[in-house]
Amino acid sequence: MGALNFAGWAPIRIYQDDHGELCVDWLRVDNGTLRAPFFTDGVQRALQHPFHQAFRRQTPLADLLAWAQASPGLQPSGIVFHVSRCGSTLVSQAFAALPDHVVLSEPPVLDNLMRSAFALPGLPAAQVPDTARALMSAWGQPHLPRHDTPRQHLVVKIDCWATTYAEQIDAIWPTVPWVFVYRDPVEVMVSQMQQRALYLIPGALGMELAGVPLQEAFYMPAMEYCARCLGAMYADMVRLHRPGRSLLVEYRSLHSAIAGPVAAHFGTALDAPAQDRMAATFSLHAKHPGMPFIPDSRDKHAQADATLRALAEQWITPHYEQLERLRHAQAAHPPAADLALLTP
Amino acid sequence: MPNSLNPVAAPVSVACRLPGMPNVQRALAEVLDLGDADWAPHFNSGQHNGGWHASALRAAPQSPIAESPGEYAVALYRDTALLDRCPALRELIESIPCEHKAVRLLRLVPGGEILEHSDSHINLRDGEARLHLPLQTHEDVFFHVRGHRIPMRTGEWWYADFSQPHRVVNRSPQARIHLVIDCVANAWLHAALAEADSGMPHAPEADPAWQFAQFQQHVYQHPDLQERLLANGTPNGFAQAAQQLGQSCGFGFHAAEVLSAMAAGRRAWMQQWVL
Repeated sequence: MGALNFAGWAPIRIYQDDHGELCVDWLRVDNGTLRAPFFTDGVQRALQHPFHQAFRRQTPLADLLAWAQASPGLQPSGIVFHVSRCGSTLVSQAFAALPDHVVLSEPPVLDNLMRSAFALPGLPAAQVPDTARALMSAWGQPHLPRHDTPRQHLVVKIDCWATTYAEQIDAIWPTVPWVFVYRDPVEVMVSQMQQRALYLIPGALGMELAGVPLQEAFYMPAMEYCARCLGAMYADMVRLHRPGRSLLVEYRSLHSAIAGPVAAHFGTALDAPAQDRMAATFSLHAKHPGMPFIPDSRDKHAQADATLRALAEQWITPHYEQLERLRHAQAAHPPAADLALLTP
Repeated sequence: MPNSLNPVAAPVSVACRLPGMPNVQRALAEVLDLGDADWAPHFNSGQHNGGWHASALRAAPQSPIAESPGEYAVALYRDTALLDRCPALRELIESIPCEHKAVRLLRLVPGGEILEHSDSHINLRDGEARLHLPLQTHEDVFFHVRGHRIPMRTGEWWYADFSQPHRVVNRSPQARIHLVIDCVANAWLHAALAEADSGMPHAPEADPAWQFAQFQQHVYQHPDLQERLLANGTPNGFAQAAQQLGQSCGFGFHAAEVLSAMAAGRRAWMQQWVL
């Protein structure tokens, strides 16, 4: 390996090669890669270009750590937790519209690190924190070739099941502000039952969710498993909430929250052009930016049958209501600069 | 680590040299005596540049194309009339004590290029193997299987897993001629494979794939070259542009190496989802 020069390159995957060696797969990033609603889509689109196919830069993991030393980049200025189907993609798209922001929307490369026991068994747990910080540092390089605006903020929207490893994230980035995005349980349930996310297939993540043993999950009706998994995430948010550290955002107040409290919480000052850029994302479908956004809460409720309502009521609603109480308390007492550690 | 600076011998499961080195001089003389009418352009004309020719020594009469190996039961294959004229070839074929399916001569003329492709229908997992015996070859014939240059030399029996992506280019001044046997794997073959080795490697510098690997490392250190390459987004245009840029930087490789690297890059990315 020659001199370390990864200017313009960022890690899209950490993996073990055929010999078990830990390796990093790099992509020569361009400005558009991270504007896609999901990290994976941006990478997949970039990989259509012959350059990215023919120049698959792959290095030992040590090079990633060395690059973080040689050229330190941004660390996260905000992390978005969410319960899925709740508007969290709009949060990441709104920040991705700002040229001085790097936005990673559900990057599997980070999720695999956090679930390394399953996804990267060769990586000692003690090395995960430095690796995760080096990963963010590489993505958060302030200067990209051909990119005029220096990057100043790094926002990470993490997968919804990340509440299960929030303590791990807290230990790695103890002072980074968090946002919890959630929504009316019936609306989220209807969306999931119309098009079920992969993680709601028992066993797909390689770990148990919601404390349901896999053997039980396999035989459970899909709707019940969905309600219990979602309920566990809502409950996690109640448990993890720290005023000042975590900002609660409910779907119905999303637009005003993003351009107001969320931006402030993440340390982003929005001038008028930035507000316009953000606002332009509000009228589009966040996951399909070529289509307009059409409110559908009323439809979602109309589509919910009695079983779905009962399951939502049993497993999710109590936690949702508690989040709402906490959120109203939060509105009465705006977050102070109290970034207390999560663990007491 | 892919794209390593040092040439790495192919794993024995990808390609290996069987023990024993028959004398192939008499057989080669028989082949060189064949007339133009004894050769047909390789039927798979989408995968070569016209320089790949085949001649059937054993084939299934049911096959609409005599030179195609076909996918028939072993009992349906018959020696062709041509084989009766070639006793030395017959002797070489009979030295492989397996049931034989298609047996062919494959010729790649100077300048001939076989594009990268995979033959999914023949491999050990299905109980079959394809063996190559070079009757005439050259240092400047480049035979790549899954990115590895396979050092096949005259008179060596080679097994390769042709279900893996493979390609061949003949940059020498003479025709490359191989005797190719498709056979049913049996105890003898498995014993021979257990004794096999990875052959005698060629010097890496002449290998265009090695040259391209050098060029990749060069590009990684030069953002300006990355920008120039990123400007071309069509596969063939990109491969041509990369070849020219490589040449101007002193690296001797061809568009085939670029296209092969692209295919390998796509496979490597998709493989993460294959359990």
